[in-house]
Amino acid sequence: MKKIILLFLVFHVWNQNAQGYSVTYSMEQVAKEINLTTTLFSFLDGNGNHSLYEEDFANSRMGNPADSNINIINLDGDNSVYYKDLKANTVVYKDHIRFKFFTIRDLFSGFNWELHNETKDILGYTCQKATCRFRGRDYTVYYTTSIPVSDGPWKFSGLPGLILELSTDDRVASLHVKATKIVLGKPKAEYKNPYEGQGYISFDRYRELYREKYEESLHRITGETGKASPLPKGFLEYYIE
Amino acid sequence: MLWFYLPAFSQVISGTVQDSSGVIPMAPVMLKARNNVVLQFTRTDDNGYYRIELKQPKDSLFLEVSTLSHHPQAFALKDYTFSNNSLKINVTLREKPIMLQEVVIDNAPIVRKKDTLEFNPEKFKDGSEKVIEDVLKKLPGVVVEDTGEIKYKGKPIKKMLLDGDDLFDANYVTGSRNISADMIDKVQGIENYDDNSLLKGLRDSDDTALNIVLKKGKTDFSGTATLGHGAESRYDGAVTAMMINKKIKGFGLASYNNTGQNNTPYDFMNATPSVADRRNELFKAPAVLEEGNFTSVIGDRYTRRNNNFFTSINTLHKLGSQSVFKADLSVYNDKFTRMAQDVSVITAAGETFTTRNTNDLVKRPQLLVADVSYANKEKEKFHWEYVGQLNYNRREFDENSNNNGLLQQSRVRSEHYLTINELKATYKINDRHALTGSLLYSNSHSPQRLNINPPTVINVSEGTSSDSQQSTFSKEAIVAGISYFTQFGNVLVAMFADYSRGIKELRSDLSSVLQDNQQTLYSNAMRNTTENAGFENVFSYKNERYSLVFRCGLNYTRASLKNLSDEQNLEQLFLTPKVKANYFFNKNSKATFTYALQQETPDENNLFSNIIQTNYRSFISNSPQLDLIKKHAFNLDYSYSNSFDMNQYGAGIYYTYRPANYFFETQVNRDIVVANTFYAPIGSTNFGTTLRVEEYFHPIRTTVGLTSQLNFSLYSNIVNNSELRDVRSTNFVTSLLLRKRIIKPISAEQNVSYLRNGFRSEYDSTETKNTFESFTAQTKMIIKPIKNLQAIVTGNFYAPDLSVNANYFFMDAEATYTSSNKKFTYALVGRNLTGYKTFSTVAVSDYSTTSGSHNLLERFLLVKITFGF
Repeated sequence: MKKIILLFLVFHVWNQNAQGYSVTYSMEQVAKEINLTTTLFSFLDGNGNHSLYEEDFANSRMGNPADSNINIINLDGDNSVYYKDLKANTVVYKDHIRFKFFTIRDLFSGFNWELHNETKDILGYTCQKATCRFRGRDYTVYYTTSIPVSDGPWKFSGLPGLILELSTDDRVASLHVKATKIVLGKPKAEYKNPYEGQGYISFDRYRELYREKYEESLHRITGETGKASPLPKGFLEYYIE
Repeated sequence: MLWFYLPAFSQVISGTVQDSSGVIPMAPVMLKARNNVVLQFTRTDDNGYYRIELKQPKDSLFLEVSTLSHHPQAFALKDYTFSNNSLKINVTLREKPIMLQEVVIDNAPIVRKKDTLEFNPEKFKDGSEKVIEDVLKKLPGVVVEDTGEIKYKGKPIKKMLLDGDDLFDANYVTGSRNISADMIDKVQGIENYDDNSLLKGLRDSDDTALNIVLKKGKTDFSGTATLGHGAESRYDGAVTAMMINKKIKGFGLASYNNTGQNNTPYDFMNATPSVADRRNELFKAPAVLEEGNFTSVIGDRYTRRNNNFFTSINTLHKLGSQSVFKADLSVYNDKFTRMAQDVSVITAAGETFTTRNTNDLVKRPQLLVADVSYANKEKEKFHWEYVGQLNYNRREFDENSNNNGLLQQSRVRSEHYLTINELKATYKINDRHALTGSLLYSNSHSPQRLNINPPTVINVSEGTSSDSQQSTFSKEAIVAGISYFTQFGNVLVAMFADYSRGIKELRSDLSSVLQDNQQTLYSNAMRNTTENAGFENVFSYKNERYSLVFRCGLNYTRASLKNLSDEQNLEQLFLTPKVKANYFFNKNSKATFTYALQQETPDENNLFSNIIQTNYRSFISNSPQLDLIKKHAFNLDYSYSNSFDMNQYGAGIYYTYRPANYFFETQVNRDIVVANTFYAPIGSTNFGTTLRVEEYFHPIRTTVGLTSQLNFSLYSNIVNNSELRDVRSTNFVTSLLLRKRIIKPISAEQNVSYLRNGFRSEYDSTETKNTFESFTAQTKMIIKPIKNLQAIVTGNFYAPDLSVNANYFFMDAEATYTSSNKKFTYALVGRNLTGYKTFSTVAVSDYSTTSGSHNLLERFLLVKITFGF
C-alpha cells in the first residue's frame, strides 16, 4: 500500500536554484564467503549538482535506541558517506585497507549504461531498467524519468532519472537497494563536502596500494600452522582480476 | 535494445536548453519510444548544449527534456525533418513551482531488522563450516589463533557467552571448537565488556566479548572421542561431550594420557598456580614440605613422565527467566617419575667443596574440585550471587636418594583442603550510580608429614639426627566489602571500603626416633592474626589523547604474631597510591606509565621461627618480624601496532625497590643446607628492560620477530657466617623468530634463542662470579602436500651449557589427515625421535654452580584417531 502525501503547496517563482531531493533506501548486503547479511537504511540527499549518500551502519538516523545491554561492534567505524559532484563525475569517500583509512576521490568518465525496455512501478513512479558493468561486477537498476535527476545510491549516476532500485549478485557478494521514501522539495542551503580539507588519493592510487598489500598478504605466513591469510580480491569493486 | 537499421550517415539532433534565466546545464535529454520507454539519453553541457546521435528510426521517437525544477517538454520527431542528417531543436523550459514537501512513503518497507551482526545459518549446510570457530575465522577483524584463542582487532576476547551465559569461563575454546553451527541464531559483538552487566559503563574496561545467540527449541548434543596407542605402552585418549539447549548447557571431558601432555588447568609437576589458583593463593594454606623437583629448562614436552587421568563436568541451568545455577566438578589423578643426579660446587666464606646427589622420585597427586554458584538476576536493578568452592587434593611423594654416599628413603604424605564461600550483590541506582557489596569466608588446611629412613644427621658432634617432620598450616579468612561506582562525563569514580580478618596457624614438629625414644627437636606453634580496614578511592579519566587512573587506599592494619612464647604486635595506618597513565600518540601507538606503592604483611612462610625439615637434606627457619614490607614499582612501556603494514614494536623498562625485606642466611655444608630468613632494613632492587619487534619484509617474504629481556636483581645475603654481602644477579634472554613460506606446500619457522645468567657476590674483598650461557635453535617445517594432509616436523637444537661441548638435537614429527567430511582425523605422532634418554644442564646461584642431569620421556610413536559425533 502506498500513501502519497502532499503537505504544502507554495506558488513561488523561484530562480534557478534546483529542487532538492531526499531519498531513504533500505539496503541488504550479503558477504557470501562468510555468510554475513547486513541490513540497514541509507540516505541520499542532493540538489542535482551535489549530493551526499550515507549508509547508516551506526543506525543513528532512524532513531532506534541501541540495546542497553549489548553494544554492537561497528566493524565499519563511522557511517560511510559518499559526496558526489554530479557535474564533474567525482565521488569523494573513505575506504580502508586493513583498518588504515584513506580519503579517496574517484573520478570516472561515466557509467556505460545499457537501457532496457522493461519497466516496473516503485513507490508509484514508473521506472525503467538499465544495466552496466562497473569494476568487475554487473549491476541492474531501475530509474524514473519522473524525477529527472542524474543520481542514485552509492557511486551511481548518469541516467536521465533518479535510480530507485539497484541490485547485483555474484559469488562473492550480493547487494539490493530499494527506495522506501522520497521527499522532494526545497533543497538545503548547501550540500557540503564532509572531507573538505583532507588530503585525497585517487582511486587508481588506492587500487595500487590494495594490490601491494594483497601481494604481501599472499606470502606472509601468519600462523604457526604455516597459513597465509590473503586479502579478498574485492567486494563491490574488484581490485584484483 | 533493438537495432532497426544502421543509416549510411548517422542522424544527429542537437540544440540548447534554457529557461527564463539562461541556459540549463546538466539537464537530461532523452529519446523515448511511444510507450515512454527511454531508448537513448544524454545531458546538456555547461553551455546548455546537447547532442544526440539517433540509433532508431526517428518517426517512432519523442525527444524529451526535463529537470527537477522545470516542467518537462516533449517533441515528437515525426513532426521534424532532418537536413543534412542533422536536426536542431532548441528547448525553453518553464520553471516548476517548488513544493515545500512532497513525500512518498512505502508503508511496508522490505526490511525492518535491527542493526546487528547477523548471519543466516541456513546457508551453512555445505559442510565446510561445521562449528562456530570456522565461521568466526572469516569475520573481518576477527582472528582465531591456532590455540583457539579468539582475538578481535588484535585484542583477545575475554569471554565467549552462550545466550549471555558464561558456561566456559576462560575455556571457551571447548565451545568454539565443538558447538555445531546449526545451533546458532546470531553472533553479537560486545565492546567495553564487563562481567557485571549492571556496572557497564561505570567501570573502566577495554575488554570485548562475543555472545552466541542460540536457536530456540533446539537441543544440540555433540562430542569428540580420541584414541591413541603407541610403543611402548603409550596411550592418549579423550572424550568430550557437549549438550546445549536454552535451559541447560553442559560439557564434560574425560582424558587419559601417559605421553607427557597436560590438558588440565592444574600443574602439580611444576607447582605453578593456574589462573584460577592465583586468586586462591590468598586463601590457600601453603605446603611447606617439598615434594620433589620435577622442573626442567627444556620444558615439559620431553620431561613430563606422567600417567594422567582427568575428568571434568561443567553444567549451567537457567532457572527463572534470568537466574543461573552452575555446578562444576573436576577429578584429577596423576603419577610423575624422575631420576636425576647432580654435582654442586659450592663456594662459601672462602671455602669450596663439592656435593653429589642422586634421586629417584615418584609423585602421585590426586585432586577433587567442586564449584557451585547461583546468580539471581530476576530484578532489573538488583542482582545477587552465591559462589561456593571446595578444593581437596592429596599427594604422595616417595624418594630414594643418595647424598654423598648415604642412601635414604623419604616419604611425604600431604593433604590440602580449601573451601571458599562468597556472597555478592549489585544494586544499580541509575545509569550513573551503582553499589555493590560482598561477603567472603574461606577455610584451608594443609597437613603434611615427612618420614626419612635412615635419619638425616643434623649435628655430627652432638649426634642429633632427624627423621620425622610433621607440619600443618591452617588459614581462615573473612572479608566484607562495599563499593560505590559513579560517572561524571569522561570521569569514572569508584570507592571501596573493606574489612578483613585472617588467622594463619602453623603447627610443626621435627623429631627423631632414636632407639625407640621419640625426641622432639624443633616445634612451631605459630599464630598470626591480621585485621585490616581499608578505604580506596579510584578516579579514571579517558579522552582520545590520554587516559589516567589514579587510586589511593588508606589502610589500617592491626596484627599479632605468636611463636611459642614470643609475641609481636603491629598497628599501622598507611597509604597505597597507584597511578596508571596512557598517552595515545595516534591510533597505532601509545605509551603507558604505572607506579604503585604496595605495603603488605610478610609472607606466611616467613612468620614461623623454628626449624622445619623440608627434604632429606634441607631445613628452613625464620627470624620473623611483624613489619609491613613496602614495595615501590615503576613501569614505562611504549607499544606500536599497525595492522596495515603488519608490524609491531614495543619497549619497556621497569624498576622495583623495597627499602626493607627478608633475606637469607644460609648454612651449607656437604650434606645439609639450613636456610634462615631474617628481616633487615636494607634495600633491594629489581630493574630491567624488554624489547619486542615484529616486522614483515616483503622482498624476502619473511616475517621477523625479535624479543629481548634484560633483568637485574640486587639484594643481600649471608652464607656460612660471612658478613652481609651484596649480590647482583643478571639475566639476559634474546630470541629471534623467522617465518617464511619456502615453496607452496612448505613453510618454515626458525626460532633462535640465547640465554645468559650470572651472579656476582663479594666476600672478604674477593669477588665470586657464577655465569652460564645456553643456546637453543628450533626449526619447524609445516608441509601440506594435499588438502587434508598436514605434516609438522620440529627439530630442537640445544646447547644447554656453552662452556661445555654437550649438545642435543631433539626431533618430533606429526602427520595429520582429516577426512573430507571433517568427521575423522588420523594422526601419527612421533616424539623425541632421536631417542635421548637423559638431559644435562647447569644451574647457578650466588654461591654454587650445579651440573645436573635427569631422565626424559622416552621416544615414542603413537597412532591417534579422533572422531566427532
